[in-house]
Amino acid sequence: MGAAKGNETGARARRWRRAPLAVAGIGLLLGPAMASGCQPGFDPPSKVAGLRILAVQADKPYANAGESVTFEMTYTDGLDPANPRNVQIAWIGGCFDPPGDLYYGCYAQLGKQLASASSVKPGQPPPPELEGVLGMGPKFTTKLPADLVARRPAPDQGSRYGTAFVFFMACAGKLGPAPATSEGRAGSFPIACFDETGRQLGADSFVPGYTQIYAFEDERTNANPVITGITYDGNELPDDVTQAPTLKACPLTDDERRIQGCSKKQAEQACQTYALRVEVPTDVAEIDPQSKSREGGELREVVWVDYYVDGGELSADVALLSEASTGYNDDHSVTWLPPDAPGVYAVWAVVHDNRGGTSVTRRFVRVE
Amino acid sequence: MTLIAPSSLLHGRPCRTLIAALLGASLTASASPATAQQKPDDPPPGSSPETPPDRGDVSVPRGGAGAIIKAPTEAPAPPPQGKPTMPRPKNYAPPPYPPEAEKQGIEGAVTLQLDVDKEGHVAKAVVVEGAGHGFDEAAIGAAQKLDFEPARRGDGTPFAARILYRYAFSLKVAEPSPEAAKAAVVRESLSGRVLAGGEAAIVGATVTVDGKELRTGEDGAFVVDDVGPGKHRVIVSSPGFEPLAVEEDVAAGERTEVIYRLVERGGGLEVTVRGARPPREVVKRTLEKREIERIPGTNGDALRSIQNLPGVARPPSIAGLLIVRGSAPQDTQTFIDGTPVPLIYHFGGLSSVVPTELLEKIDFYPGNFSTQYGRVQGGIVDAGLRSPKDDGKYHGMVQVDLIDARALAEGPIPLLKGWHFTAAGRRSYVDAWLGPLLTASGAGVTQAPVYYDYQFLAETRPTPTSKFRVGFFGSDDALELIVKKPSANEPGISGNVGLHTAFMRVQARYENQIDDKNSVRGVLAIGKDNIDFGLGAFYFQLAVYSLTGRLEWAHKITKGLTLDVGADVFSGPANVNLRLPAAPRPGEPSGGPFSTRPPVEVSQSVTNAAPAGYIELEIAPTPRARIVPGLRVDYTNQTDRVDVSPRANGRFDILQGFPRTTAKAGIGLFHQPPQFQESAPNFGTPGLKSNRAIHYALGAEQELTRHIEVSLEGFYKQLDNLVVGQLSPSGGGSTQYANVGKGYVVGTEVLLKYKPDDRFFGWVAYTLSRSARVDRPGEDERLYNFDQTHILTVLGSYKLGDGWEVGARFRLVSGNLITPNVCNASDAGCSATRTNSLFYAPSNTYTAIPTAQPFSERLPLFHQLDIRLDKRWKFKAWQLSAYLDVQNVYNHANAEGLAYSFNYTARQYVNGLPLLPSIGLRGDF
Repeated sequence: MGAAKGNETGARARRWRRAPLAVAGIGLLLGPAMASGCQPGFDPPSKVAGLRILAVQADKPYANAGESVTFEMTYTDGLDPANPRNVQIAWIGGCFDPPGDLYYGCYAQLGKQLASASSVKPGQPPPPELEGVLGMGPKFTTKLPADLVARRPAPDQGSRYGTAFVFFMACAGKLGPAPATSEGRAGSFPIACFDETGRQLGADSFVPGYTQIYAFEDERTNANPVITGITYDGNELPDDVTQAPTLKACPLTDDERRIQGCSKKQAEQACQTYALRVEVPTDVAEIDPQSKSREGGELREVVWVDYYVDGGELSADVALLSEASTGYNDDHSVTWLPPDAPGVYAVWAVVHDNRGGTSVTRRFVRVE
Repeated sequence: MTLIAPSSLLHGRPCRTLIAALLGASLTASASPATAQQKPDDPPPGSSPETPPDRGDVSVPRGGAGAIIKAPTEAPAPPPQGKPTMPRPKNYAPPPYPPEAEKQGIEGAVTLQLDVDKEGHVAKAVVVEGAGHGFDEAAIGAAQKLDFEPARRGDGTPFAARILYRYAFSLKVAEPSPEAAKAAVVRESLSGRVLAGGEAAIVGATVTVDGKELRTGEDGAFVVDDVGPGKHRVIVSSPGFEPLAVEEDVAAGERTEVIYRLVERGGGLEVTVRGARPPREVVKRTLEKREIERIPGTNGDALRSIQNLPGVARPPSIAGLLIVRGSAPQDTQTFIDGTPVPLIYHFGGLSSVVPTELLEKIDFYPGNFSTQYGRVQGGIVDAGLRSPKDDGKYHGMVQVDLIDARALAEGPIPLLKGWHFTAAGRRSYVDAWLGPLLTASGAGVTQAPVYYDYQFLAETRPTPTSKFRVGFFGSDDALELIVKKPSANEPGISGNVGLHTAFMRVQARYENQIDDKNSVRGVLAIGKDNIDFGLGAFYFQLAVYSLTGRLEWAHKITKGLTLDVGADVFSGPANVNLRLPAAPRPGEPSGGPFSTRPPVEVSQSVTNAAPAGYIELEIAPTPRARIVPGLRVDYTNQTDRVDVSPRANGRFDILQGFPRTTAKAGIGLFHQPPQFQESAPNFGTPGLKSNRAIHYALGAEQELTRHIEVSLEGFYKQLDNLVVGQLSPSGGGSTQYANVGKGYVVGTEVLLKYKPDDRFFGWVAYTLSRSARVDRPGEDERLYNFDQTHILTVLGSYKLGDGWEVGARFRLVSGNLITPNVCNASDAGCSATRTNSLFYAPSNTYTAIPTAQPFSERLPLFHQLDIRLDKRWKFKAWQLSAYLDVQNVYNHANAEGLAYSFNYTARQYVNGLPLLPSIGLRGDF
């Protein structure tokens, strides 16, 4: 009798233990599936679907104090290629050595300059203090002060330098003062873009930005990187749209391509893809005089490329062209998955070095 | 029928002695219980007489009277497993001595028949042999308050039983002389119980204190009087159990109560619960080994278990940070055996740098710590390493799980008589799976991530009162990757990514209880720390060579007054080489990618010198009160200043004995020197002062039951002189550091704890706090980066039997703070057309324009359930354990950060770890 009760108790205990064991076992089996998720992500930066500034190239990425520097903007409006919009380009310069070398340290200077600009009557030449400060259109020239470097304190190590900031904006509407919004310690950008009804436009229609020019006491220079072309599957893409090669469309829609996670369709297997590659000289990276390896050896610039397309999808947005210590990287092609809609599409390659150098090129492909 | 006369519970006895002596007691009386157990069917347990504990002619006055504690006349061996057991009392309160009988000098004994039900309650008490004069009523009244461990059958099933229980009332007529009373006042005693787990007392266990041997009584109790202050070697043994050897520190003029739990042979690790000696600090939390090993979600890692205590914030996902009471991670100092170490966790907090098996204890002070610690303004974690086993045998342990494997061996050192050693090591497996994973994701792997740590200890006892130990321990974490794809946000950074952190210490420790009044302890260590970080063309290399030491002398000046004097030093050269972009200043929004800025290059050597001295008085005007004022004086050549830090802590037992009620409070000044990069020439700003904090604490502890205790602490930390980086007034983009920051941390901690018994342990910990800073004069107050308003942890573990144990941990914590770059669409005033970023042409990236102040938005509430299942198999000479630890059982998507679209037009939460099972195996011999 006692033995029977003991067995019953033991069986009860075993049954009791099965519950947590079963939960643990089910969790172990289902966990990875539950954890993977199927959350869609954001659009990649390489996808041009609105107004985008693709590059702002300075003719002298490293200038000397007192020199003039000319900037040229490359932009495109991908919101509705069938109905191109009028895009207004504006430039604001004249900010030198702001506190902390921070762009929002320029806001105080900009406020004064904009106040001066508002006093200029239409048709009158800008006053001398605004020369090289305000500009319109894709090109803008500004002059660096002669004391840009000398007025700064010498650093403990390295060459003394000064820096200039130039702001720019592209607006598919009309520029105007920005309404007050919530802001942090960086403040808020004081200019906004409005349509003809006065409605403030968003990021697909208004792109503000800034660039920075360094001037060093040792008068070092930096050249913009050289681009020799763009190839697809080893074939050169011509820069003449009329000679664009014809490639095969991929029938998957954008929504189908965006699905990630457990139910992702293998688009690359369903469609033909193409290897896109910007062509640069193997010595595209200059020696960086300020950089030394920990062993004291010379280092080169870091050079990379940003790819953009206004149709289809790229496997990567950025590729490394040259690394500081190992040099040229030949493995920098990306895979392009063509769009589902036939048409002519543009491909941009914007090559940068880490010292402000920029070059840009554009090619076209036809999709059928 | 067999009469068993147990020793009564002795807790609190010297306290009563002290009070009685102070009152000038002239007449003592006693009441001591004796049980007479009668098993209904079976013969009673063994009844062979045992030698009573040698406690001398102990007299314990109680109020105006006293109690003579009867020695056990019989102490049966613990019943063998599988045999029925009789009821055993779990509590005891002496019956009041009948006033009339006491006045008339009458003694007596009462034998009761008790019916104890299956729950262990006394259902009925009947006088079998009375004594009149009020003794019968007093005995029945006391017996009805008793709780028993119920009688159990061989299979563990409880059953109702009838037993005989005897109370003996006796008087002590000898009036103590003033000298005797005075002597009684200054007696130190060591008392306690020996248990087999929970409240299962081990009767007849041998307790040897400094070579003096005695046996435990019916309830496992023992007492040793006149042990004298200082450290005492205690060895506890009983047939069928692993012997336990510990060292007890008995404070001058105080009782020390302990509970020793012996582990059945092959049953696991020894566990020692420190008893009632009040700590010097207001809050000192100690975790038991079973708690450490069985807390779900920690993989049995001791130091990770600290994160479940009140006052400790939940670190961001996979960040191995220790955030104590709203302070920065660097504000909390970690020690191994009294020697500071730079890190306590391996990569991302996967495991700690000391294996759990080597730890004797972890002392955690969230604030108001003693003057023996300094140079930080947050908290202290001191992980004490245990002594090698000295039973003459060799022991070992091997454990493997999905993350790492570790082994330990210990025993006597051949050819070195009296020396014992412990050697342990661990190596991670992370490289086995993370390396291929990273390669598959496009990153070339040069050095797959791997960590290891090692410990070697050798110890001897040159004299019975001294101990000498040499140790060698360290840790190493390394990883190196080739990144072929530039980062989208920092495309100027490409190339190899390398990280190597390591530390090593060679340590010598010495402790000696010189005599009754003097003791000395010291620790000296030399070491080296390395941090080597590389990211493309950027690098940071730091090598710190250190000489650290501490020497402390404790001297008992008089009864209730002990002086602790000590010195500690940190010294050594450090070499730093770096090439990095300038770091942003606190609260400063990004000015664009930092990788395109001109870098800062520094190559420098400095020598650190930071000696300190401290003095502390332990004042115990009564056994109920303890006040510990102290003073610490620090010098560091980093600031070239002397920092004076007075501190005081106090505790007062409002109610002594059970249930104890204690009030406690503390106030103190704490200084923390600037970080290396803040004060070093050519790197930071020389001439800084130390960061300063004033800690205030007020709290109470209350025992609710024998197993449940609640503690409540309120704290306030006032911070000033905080070193903060700001723009250099000399222009340019350089940073200048200054002591301009201020802040405060205020909060409340509650810990409701069920102390481990033979089945269960668990606690509920809750912290409510606010940590705020004002970075620079004139700026608004902001919540500090690591502020977490609510931290709730509920955990428990239950032994199912047959070696099975199941546990669960649930955490509910306020979300971490972030600086939002895109407003939350559900917030009022969130504009969809706001310009959230600027295109940065030199790198074709976007620079965010935060929508609000730094760390002003809180992520959603974090909650997670973890479970753990353990199974142990015992074999003749060894045991095997296996566990399954499942984190985030219901796979809740806890937000750990925000991700943004490339131009900051949209945002979504980045979630932490999903459901994550982990398994492990362990063998011990």
